[in-house]
Amino acid sequence: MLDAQMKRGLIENCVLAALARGDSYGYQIVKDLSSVVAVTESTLYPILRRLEGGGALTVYSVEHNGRLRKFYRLTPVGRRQLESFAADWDELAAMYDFIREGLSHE
Amino acid sequence: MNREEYLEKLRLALAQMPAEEKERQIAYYDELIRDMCEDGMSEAEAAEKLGDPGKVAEELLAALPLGTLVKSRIKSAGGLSALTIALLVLGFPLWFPLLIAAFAVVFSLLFSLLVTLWSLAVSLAAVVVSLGVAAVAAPIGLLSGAITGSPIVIIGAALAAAGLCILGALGLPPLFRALAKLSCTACRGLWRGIKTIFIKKEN
Repeated sequence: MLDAQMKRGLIENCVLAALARGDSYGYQIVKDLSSVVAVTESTLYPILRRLEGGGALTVYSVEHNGRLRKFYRLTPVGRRQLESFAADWDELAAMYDFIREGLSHE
Repeated sequence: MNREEYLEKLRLALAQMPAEEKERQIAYYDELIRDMCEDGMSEAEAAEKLGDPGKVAEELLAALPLGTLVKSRIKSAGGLSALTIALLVLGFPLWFPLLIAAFAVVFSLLFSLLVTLWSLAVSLAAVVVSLGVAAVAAPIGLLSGAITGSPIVIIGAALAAAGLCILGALGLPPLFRALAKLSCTACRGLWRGIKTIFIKKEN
Protein backbone atom coordinates (compact mmCIF):
# COMPACT_ATOMS: atom_id res chain seq x y z
CA MET A 1 0.00 0.00 0.00
CA LEU A 2 1.34 3.42 -0.93
CA ASP A 3 1.77 5.71 2.02
CA ALA A 4 -0.61 8.66 2.19
CA GLN A 5 2.03 11.31 1.55
CA MET A 6 3.26 9.61 -1.60
CA LYS A 7 -0.25 9.00 -2.88
CA ARG A 8 -1.16 12.64 -2.39
CA GLY A 9 1.86 13.75 -4.38
CA LEU A 10 1.02 11.30 -7.15
CA ILE A 11 -2.60 12.44 -7.38
CA GLU A 12 -1.54 16.08 -7.38
CA ASN A 13 0.70 15.41 -10.36
CA CYS A 14 -2.02 13.40 -12.08
CA VAL A 15 -4.22 16.50 -11.82
CA LEU A 16 -1.43 18.61 -13.34
CA ALA A 17 -0.99 16.02 -16.08
CA ALA A 18 -4.73 16.08 -16.80
CA LEU A 19 -4.49 19.86 -17.23
CA ALA A 20 -1.36 19.55 -19.37
CA ARG A 21 -3.67 17.94 -21.96
CA GLY A 22 -5.81 21.08 -21.96
CA ASP A 23 -7.90 23.28 -19.66
CA SER A 24 -10.54 21.39 -17.78
CA TYR A 25 -13.21 21.65 -15.05
CA GLY A 26 -13.87 19.73 -11.83
CA TYR A 27 -16.13 16.92 -12.96
CA GLN A 28 -14.16 16.38 -16.17
CA ILE A 29 -10.93 16.06 -14.18
CA VAL A 30 -12.51 13.46 -11.90
CA LYS A 31 -13.66 11.51 -14.95
CA ASP A 32 -10.27 11.78 -16.68
CA LEU A 33 -8.46 10.54 -13.58
CA SER A 34 -10.92 7.72 -12.87
CA SER A 35 -9.14 5.39 -15.30
CA VAL A 36 -5.87 5.60 -13.33
CA VAL A 37 -6.87 6.51 -9.79
CA ALA A 38 -10.16 6.75 -7.90
CA VAL A 39 -10.31 10.38 -6.86
CA THR A 40 -13.56 11.51 -5.32
CA GLU A 41 -14.99 14.94 -5.99
CA SER A 42 -14.35 15.92 -2.36
CA THR A 43 -10.69 14.94 -2.48
CA LEU A 44 -10.13 16.81 -5.72
CA TYR A 45 -11.21 20.18 -4.39
CA PRO A 46 -8.48 20.63 -1.75
CA ILE A 47 -5.90 19.50 -4.30
CA LEU A 48 -7.07 22.11 -6.81
CA ARG A 49 -7.02 24.77 -4.10
CA ARG A 50 -3.53 23.84 -3.01
CA LEU A 51 -2.27 23.88 -6.58
CA GLU A 52 -3.95 27.23 -7.19
CA GLY A 53 -2.41 28.60 -3.99
CA GLY A 54 1.02 27.45 -5.14
CA GLY A 55 0.54 29.16 -8.51
CA ALA A 56 0.55 25.85 -10.42
CA LEU A 57 -2.81 26.62 -11.99
CA THR A 58 -5.15 29.52 -12.59
CA VAL A 59 -8.93 29.55 -12.47
CA TYR A 60 -11.36 31.26 -14.83
CA SER A 61 -15.10 30.99 -15.37
CA VAL A 62 -16.83 30.16 -18.62
CA GLU A 63 -20.54 30.49 -19.21
CA HIS A 64 -22.14 27.16 -19.92
CA ASN A 65 -25.90 26.48 -20.23
CA GLY A 66 -26.76 29.68 -18.44
CA ARG A 67 -24.42 29.05 -15.51
CA LEU A 68 -20.76 29.51 -14.75
CA ARG A 69 -18.31 26.67 -14.97
CA LYS A 70 -14.87 26.98 -13.39
CA PHE A 71 -12.01 26.01 -15.65
CA TYR A 72 -8.49 25.29 -14.47
CA ARG A 73 -5.43 26.08 -16.56
CA LEU A 74 -1.86 24.86 -16.03
CA THR A 75 0.64 27.72 -15.49
CA PRO A 76 4.36 27.63 -16.37
CA VAL A 77 4.98 27.02 -12.65
CA GLY A 78 2.69 23.98 -12.76
CA ARG A 79 4.35 22.74 -15.91
CA ARG A 80 7.80 22.97 -14.26
CA GLN A 81 6.48 21.15 -11.18
CA LEU A 82 5.19 18.35 -13.40
CA GLU A 83 8.50 18.16 -15.28
CA SER A 84 10.57 17.99 -12.11
CA PHE A 85 8.23 15.31 -10.74
CA ALA A 86 8.72 13.24 -13.88
CA ALA A 87 12.49 13.68 -13.60
CA ASP A 88 12.45 12.50 -9.96
CA TRP A 89 10.38 9.58 -11.08
CA ASP A 90 12.97 8.54 -13.66
CA GLU A 91 15.46 8.23 -10.81
CA LEU A 92 12.98 6.14 -8.83
CA ALA A 93 12.34 3.94 -11.86
CA ALA A 94 16.08 3.22 -12.11
CA MET A 95 16.14 2.20 -8.44
CA TYR A 96 13.06 0.07 -8.97
CA ASP A 97 14.71 -1.77 -11.88
CA PHE A 98 17.77 -2.37 -9.69
CA ILE A 99 15.56 -3.83 -6.95
CA ARG A 100 13.72 -6.10 -9.39
CA GLU A 101 17.00 -7.31 -10.82
CA GLY A 102 18.32 -8.08 -7.35
CA LEU A 103 15.19 -10.09 -6.61
CA SER A 104 15.49 -12.14 -9.79
CA HIS A 105 19.01 -13.24 -8.74
CA GLU A 106 17.52 -15.27 -5.89
CA MET B 1 -32.09 14.47 -1.97
CA ASN B 2 -32.13 17.00 -4.81
CA ARG B 3 -29.46 19.53 -5.64
CA GLU B 4 -30.88 22.38 -3.58
CA GLU B 5 -31.42 20.21 -0.52
CA TYR B 6 -27.89 18.89 -0.79
CA LEU B 7 -26.37 22.36 -1.05
CA GLU B 8 -28.51 23.63 1.82
CA LYS B 9 -27.37 20.80 4.07
CA LEU B 10 -23.77 21.45 3.07
CA ARG B 11 -24.19 25.15 3.78
CA LEU B 12 -25.56 24.45 7.26
CA ALA B 13 -22.81 21.97 8.05
CA LEU B 14 -20.19 24.48 6.92
CA ALA B 15 -21.65 27.26 9.09
CA GLN B 16 -18.35 27.81 10.87
CA MET B 17 -16.28 28.08 7.72
CA PRO B 18 -15.20 31.60 6.64
CA ALA B 19 -17.94 32.96 4.32
CA GLU B 20 -15.77 33.38 1.24
CA GLU B 21 -14.36 29.88 1.42
CA LYS B 22 -17.80 28.46 2.14
CA GLU B 23 -19.29 30.08 -0.98
CA ARG B 24 -16.46 28.66 -3.07
CA GLN B 25 -17.21 25.19 -1.74
CA ILE B 26 -20.95 25.51 -2.35
CA ALA B 27 -20.29 26.76 -5.89
CA TYR B 28 -17.97 23.83 -6.51
CA TYR B 29 -20.55 21.26 -5.38
CA ASP B 30 -23.31 23.09 -7.26
CA GLU B 31 -21.27 22.91 -10.45
CA LEU B 32 -20.46 19.23 -9.86
CA ILE B 33 -24.12 18.23 -9.39
CA ARG B 34 -25.15 20.16 -12.50
CA ASP B 35 -22.33 18.59 -14.50
CA MET B 36 -23.27 15.12 -13.28
CA CYS B 37 -26.87 15.77 -14.30
CA GLU B 38 -25.74 16.86 -17.76
CA ASP B 39 -23.83 13.60 -17.85
CA GLY B 40 -27.12 11.72 -17.44
CA MET B 41 -27.43 11.30 -13.68
CA SER B 42 -30.44 12.40 -11.69
CA GLU B 43 -29.91 14.97 -8.94
CA ALA B 44 -30.51 12.25 -6.34
CA GLU B 45 -27.91 9.99 -7.92
CA ALA B 46 -25.41 12.83 -8.06
CA ALA B 47 -26.05 13.65 -4.40
CA GLU B 48 -25.58 9.99 -3.52
CA LYS B 49 -22.28 9.82 -5.41
CA LEU B 50 -20.93 12.92 -3.67
CA GLY B 51 -21.67 11.38 -0.27
CA ASP B 52 -23.38 12.56 2.87
CA PRO B 53 -23.11 16.38 3.05
CA GLY B 54 -22.42 16.22 6.79
CA LYS B 55 -19.44 13.93 6.25
CA VAL B 56 -18.21 15.97 3.29
CA ALA B 57 -18.37 19.12 5.42
CA GLU B 58 -16.50 17.43 8.25
CA GLU B 59 -13.66 16.53 5.88
CA LEU B 60 -13.58 20.03 4.43
CA LEU B 61 -13.40 21.59 7.89
CA ALA B 62 -10.70 19.19 9.07
CA ALA B 63 -8.60 20.10 6.04
CA LEU B 64 -8.53 23.77 7.02
CA PRO B 65 -5.35 24.99 8.74
CA LEU B 66 -5.49 25.21 12.51
CA GLY B 67 -5.26 29.02 12.48
CA THR B 68 -8.25 29.35 10.16
CA LEU B 69 -10.24 26.93 12.29
CA VAL B 70 -9.67 28.92 15.44
CA LYS B 71 -10.25 32.29 13.76
CA SER B 72 -13.40 31.20 11.94
CA ARG B 73 -14.77 29.72 15.12
CA ILE B 74 -14.41 33.01 16.97
CA LYS B 75 -15.85 34.97 14.04
CA SER B 76 -18.68 32.64 13.05
CA ALA B 77 -19.81 32.13 16.64
CA GLY B 78 -21.27 35.64 16.58
CA GLY B 79 -22.51 34.54 20.00
CA LEU B 80 -19.50 36.03 21.70
CA SER B 81 -21.48 38.59 23.65
CA ALA B 82 -19.99 41.79 25.00
CA LEU B 83 -20.11 40.18 28.44
CA THR B 84 -18.14 37.15 27.29
CA ILE B 85 -15.54 39.33 25.66
CA ALA B 86 -15.30 41.54 28.74
CA LEU B 87 -14.90 38.48 30.95
CA LEU B 88 -12.28 37.05 28.62
CA VAL B 89 -10.32 40.31 28.67
CA LEU B 90 -10.69 40.87 32.41
CA GLY B 91 -9.97 37.24 33.17
CA PHE B 92 -6.89 37.19 30.97
CA PRO B 93 -4.43 37.38 33.91
CA LEU B 94 -6.25 34.36 35.35
CA TRP B 95 -6.92 32.05 32.41
CA PHE B 96 -3.80 32.72 30.42
CA PRO B 97 -1.37 31.47 33.11
CA LEU B 98 -3.71 28.53 33.75
CA LEU B 99 -3.66 27.62 30.08
CA ILE B 100 0.11 27.92 29.94
CA ALA B 101 0.39 25.87 33.12
CA ALA B 102 -1.81 23.11 31.66
CA PHE B 103 0.34 22.92 28.55
CA ALA B 104 3.48 23.02 30.69
CA VAL B 105 2.26 20.13 32.85
CA VAL B 106 1.46 17.92 29.87
CA PHE B 107 4.67 18.86 28.14
CA SER B 108 6.90 18.42 31.20
CA LEU B 109 5.34 15.06 32.08
CA LEU B 110 6.05 13.80 28.60
CA PHE B 111 9.48 15.42 28.58
CA SER B 112 10.54 14.03 31.97
CA LEU B 113 9.33 10.56 31.05
CA LEU B 114 11.40 10.65 27.89
CA VAL B 115 14.43 12.09 29.70
CA THR B 116 14.20 9.35 32.34
CA LEU B 117 14.06 6.63 29.70
CA TRP B 118 16.95 8.17 27.80
CA SER B 119 19.12 8.53 30.91
CA LEU B 120 18.40 4.94 31.88
CA ALA B 121 19.50 3.85 28.43
CA VAL B 122 22.64 6.00 28.64
CA SER B 123 23.59 4.58 32.05
CA LEU B 124 23.03 1.10 30.68
CA ALA B 125 25.41 1.98 27.87
CA ALA B 126 27.91 3.24 30.47
CA VAL B 127 27.66 -0.06 32.35
CA VAL B 128 28.30 -1.95 29.11
CA VAL B 129 31.35 0.21 28.36
CA SER B 130 32.78 -0.23 31.88
CA LEU B 131 32.28 -3.99 31.63
CA GLY B 132 34.29 -3.90 28.42
CA VAL B 133 37.02 -1.83 30.06
CA ALA B 134 37.11 -4.19 33.03
CA ALA B 135 37.33 -7.24 30.76
CA VAL B 136 40.37 -5.74 29.03
CA ALA B 137 42.00 -4.15 32.08
CA ALA B 138 41.83 -7.17 34.37
CA PRO B 139 44.16 -9.45 32.37
CA ILE B 140 46.55 -6.54 31.71
CA GLY B 141 46.58 -5.67 35.40
CA LEU B 142 47.22 -9.29 36.25
CA LEU B 143 50.15 -9.54 33.81
CA SER B 144 51.75 -6.29 34.93
CA GLY B 145 51.31 -7.23 38.53
CA ALA B 146 49.06 -4.29 39.31
CA ILE B 147 46.33 -6.68 40.42
CA THR B 148 47.09 -9.41 42.88
CA GLY B 149 44.90 -12.37 43.65
CA SER B 150 43.86 -15.69 42.26
CA PRO B 151 44.52 -15.54 38.47
CA ILE B 152 41.67 -17.99 37.82
CA VAL B 153 39.15 -15.84 39.66
CA ILE B 154 40.35 -12.69 37.86
CA ILE B 155 40.38 -14.30 34.40
CA GLY B 156 36.95 -15.80 35.11
CA ALA B 157 35.59 -12.43 36.14
CA ALA B 158 37.12 -10.79 33.06
CA LEU B 159 35.51 -13.40 30.80
CA ALA B 160 32.17 -12.92 32.48
CA ALA B 161 32.50 -9.14 32.05
CA ALA B 162 33.41 -9.59 28.37
CA GLY B 163 30.39 -11.82 27.84
CA LEU B 164 28.03 -9.36 29.52
CA CYS B 165 29.60 -6.50 27.55
CA ILE B 166 29.04 -8.24 24.21
CA LEU B 167 25.50 -9.16 25.18
CA GLY B 168 24.82 -5.59 26.22
CA ALA B 169 26.41 -4.15 23.08
CA LEU B 170 24.12 -6.32 20.96
CA GLY B 171 21.06 -5.15 22.86
CA LEU B 172 21.91 -1.43 22.91
CA PRO B 173 21.30 -0.42 19.26
CA PRO B 174 17.75 -1.82 19.16
CA LEU B 175 17.07 -0.22 22.54
CA PHE B 176 18.20 3.20 21.33
CA ARG B 177 16.33 2.82 18.07
CA ALA B 178 13.15 1.91 19.92
CA LEU B 179 13.62 4.90 22.22
CA ALA B 180 14.13 7.29 19.30
CA LYS B 181 10.99 5.95 17.67
CA LEU B 182 9.06 6.31 20.91
CA SER B 183 10.22 9.92 21.30
CA CYS B 184 9.14 10.79 17.75
CA THR B 185 5.76 9.14 18.20
CA ALA B 186 5.20 10.90 21.50
CA CYS B 187 5.98 14.35 20.06
CA ARG B 188 3.82 13.77 17.00
CA GLY B 189 1.02 12.44 19.19
CA LEU B 190 1.14 15.56 21.34
CA TRP B 191 0.86 17.84 18.27
CA ARG B 192 -1.98 15.77 16.82
CA GLY B 193 -3.72 15.89 20.18
CA ILE B 194 -3.57 19.68 20.24
CA LYS B 195 -4.99 19.89 16.71
CA THR B 196 -7.82 17.45 17.42
CA ILE B 197 -8.93 19.53 20.37
CA PHE B 198 -9.47 22.50 18.05
CA ILE B 199 -11.06 20.46 15.26
CA LYS B 200 -13.47 18.79 17.64
CA LYS B 201 -14.51 22.14 19.01
CA GLU B 202 -14.95 23.34 15.47
CA ASN B 203 -17.18 20.43 14.54
